[in-house]
Amino acid sequence: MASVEVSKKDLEKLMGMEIVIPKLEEDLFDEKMELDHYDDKTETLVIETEYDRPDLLSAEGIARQLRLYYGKQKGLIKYDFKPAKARVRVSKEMKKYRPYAHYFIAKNVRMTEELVKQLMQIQEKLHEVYAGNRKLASIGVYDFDKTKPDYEYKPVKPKEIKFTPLGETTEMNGIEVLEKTEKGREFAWLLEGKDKYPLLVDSTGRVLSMPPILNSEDTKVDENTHNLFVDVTGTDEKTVRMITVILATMLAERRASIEKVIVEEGSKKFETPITEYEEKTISVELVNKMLGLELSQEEVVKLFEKQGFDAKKKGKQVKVTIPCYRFDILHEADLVEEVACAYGLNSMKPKLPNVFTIGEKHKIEKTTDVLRELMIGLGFQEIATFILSNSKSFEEKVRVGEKILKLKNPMSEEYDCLRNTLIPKLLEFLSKNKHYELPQKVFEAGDVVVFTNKGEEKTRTEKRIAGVIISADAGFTQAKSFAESILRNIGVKPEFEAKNYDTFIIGRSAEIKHGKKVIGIIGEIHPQIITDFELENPIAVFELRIDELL
Amino acid sequence: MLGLLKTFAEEIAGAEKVRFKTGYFPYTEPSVEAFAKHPQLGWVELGGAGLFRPEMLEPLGVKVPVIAWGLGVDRLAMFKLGLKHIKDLFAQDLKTLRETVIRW
Repeated sequence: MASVEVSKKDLEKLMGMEIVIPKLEEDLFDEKMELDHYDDKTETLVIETEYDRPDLLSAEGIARQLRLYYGKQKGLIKYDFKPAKARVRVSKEMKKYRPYAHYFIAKNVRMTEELVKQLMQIQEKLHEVYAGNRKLASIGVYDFDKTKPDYEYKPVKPKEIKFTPLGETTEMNGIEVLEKTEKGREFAWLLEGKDKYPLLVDSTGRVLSMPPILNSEDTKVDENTHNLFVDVTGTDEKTVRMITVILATMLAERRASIEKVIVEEGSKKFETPITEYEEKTISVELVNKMLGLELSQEEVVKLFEKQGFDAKKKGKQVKVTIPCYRFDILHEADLVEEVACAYGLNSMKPKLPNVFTIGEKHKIEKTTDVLRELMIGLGFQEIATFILSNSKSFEEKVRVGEKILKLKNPMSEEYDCLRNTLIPKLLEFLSKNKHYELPQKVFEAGDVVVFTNKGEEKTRTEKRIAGVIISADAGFTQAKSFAESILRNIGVKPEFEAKNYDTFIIGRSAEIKHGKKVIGIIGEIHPQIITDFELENPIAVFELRIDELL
Repeated sequence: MLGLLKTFAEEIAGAEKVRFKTGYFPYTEPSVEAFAKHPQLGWVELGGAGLFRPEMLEPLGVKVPVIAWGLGVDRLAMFKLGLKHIKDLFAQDLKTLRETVIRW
């Protein structure tokens, strides 16, 4: 999901109608959007959009979709791009560096504060979500009047590059740009190991930018800009093409006049943006079957037009033309979803399926539930903690001993590993509740992940239940009687085999067995650990492996 | 599918108002997200669902439509118990846990 910030007044202007926030909040749901929140002081809306709709990443795209939804417009919007005059010569060598490049010119652009904000926002979102953080594609926007067509896109040796980067006051060469500028340092990895860097220059040799790193200060866009020159370069053709079309249609929605650009690569010559108005056919019967409705052919045609598609009857089917800014329509299922959006999910009558099947709880869930009830019966309070924990607790404090699985890129130190026993979390809980009277008896039933180095995943997820007792007289015997009690109640007669662990006091711990199976452990917590958790009383604990008890 | 989601929302979460949003998941189309109206938090998402895309079912030889859904048990619990924060379910305070009344 992406969060798009738009101004209420700007959206109303683009939509040609007033917005009532509570109603909009409900209506957005039909068009795959969600109102995250509305700030009535700044009159700004934050709208969440889905990953399959890059066309909704700006106020212009959202307004377009809402105009269609509210009936201010219907049918296919065909963008009329002006014939190409300017030309970009792409060097054949670029195949080795950053092969794909599409362009367009936007004339008569009213550079309002809102448009600047939307342009910056959509570039950021497109880079982040679709362009692999600029690797697959990157966008450059320039003041067309500060340049002189025609242009050249070619690889140049870093030391031979010379221009004043955006935001700087002195000229730098390619290497200096990567070392001395903020964006240069951030994106230098994209040019690592390359002997030449891509460069976009005009007919006077003036540098517009060094894609994908940084634009030049000389051709930058400001509040006086009237005409824009836009480039999208990258390593993935589909992404480059898509982004170019989305930006061009976005500016067209602002009433700018979009002029195509000729791209010449050796003998290959084509014009960009490359817009496609694909045609597809869908059967009315399929739509009704999948949605559980009884729509007529006419109704289906009208619903497609409501979504910005052109639609015509064709025998028993409907032939549709897909808008050029939609890149998510792959199969019939996608077309069926469009009808669902237009009809409105909340206009459908929810129905339960006509299926007769019998459901049942899984054996392990039934066993776990019985064990939980028994623990409660013995006076233990159930708690729920997270399966992610911090490795320091496990390795240093509790000294669990077995290999613990750590996250490669944890968001916080607090949650950097998967628990392989429930005991540390129970001890953590006790240390947060020192201020309540003793005795305290607490338990948890849940999943742990054990490293086994076998199988495809090299791990095993186990369901366990663990109980902890803290009091002046907590001890092995007491814990043993609790463990035996609940096991006896499910028909398991356990055997206790003395075993030492780093976690427990020597001679005060055991492995719990049932026949040949190890079904748990039990022991008195080592005083050093009690102190490390800032507790002051004896603690006894037991943990059972529920999978082994079935 | 909508019927199933509505039943879960109303019977388990005790939601009074349920609303559906078209959604996007890579393996389902059409996709839906079910929302319930929480008295303090507004519209809260309960989970996602959808009809499996045909290319998912073809390699498995399944020729009938397949509905799939995943609801957050924590979210349903939050609604039912009238909690404002989901982390209250994972409370680390003994007194709170002992005093929480489970309505059923």
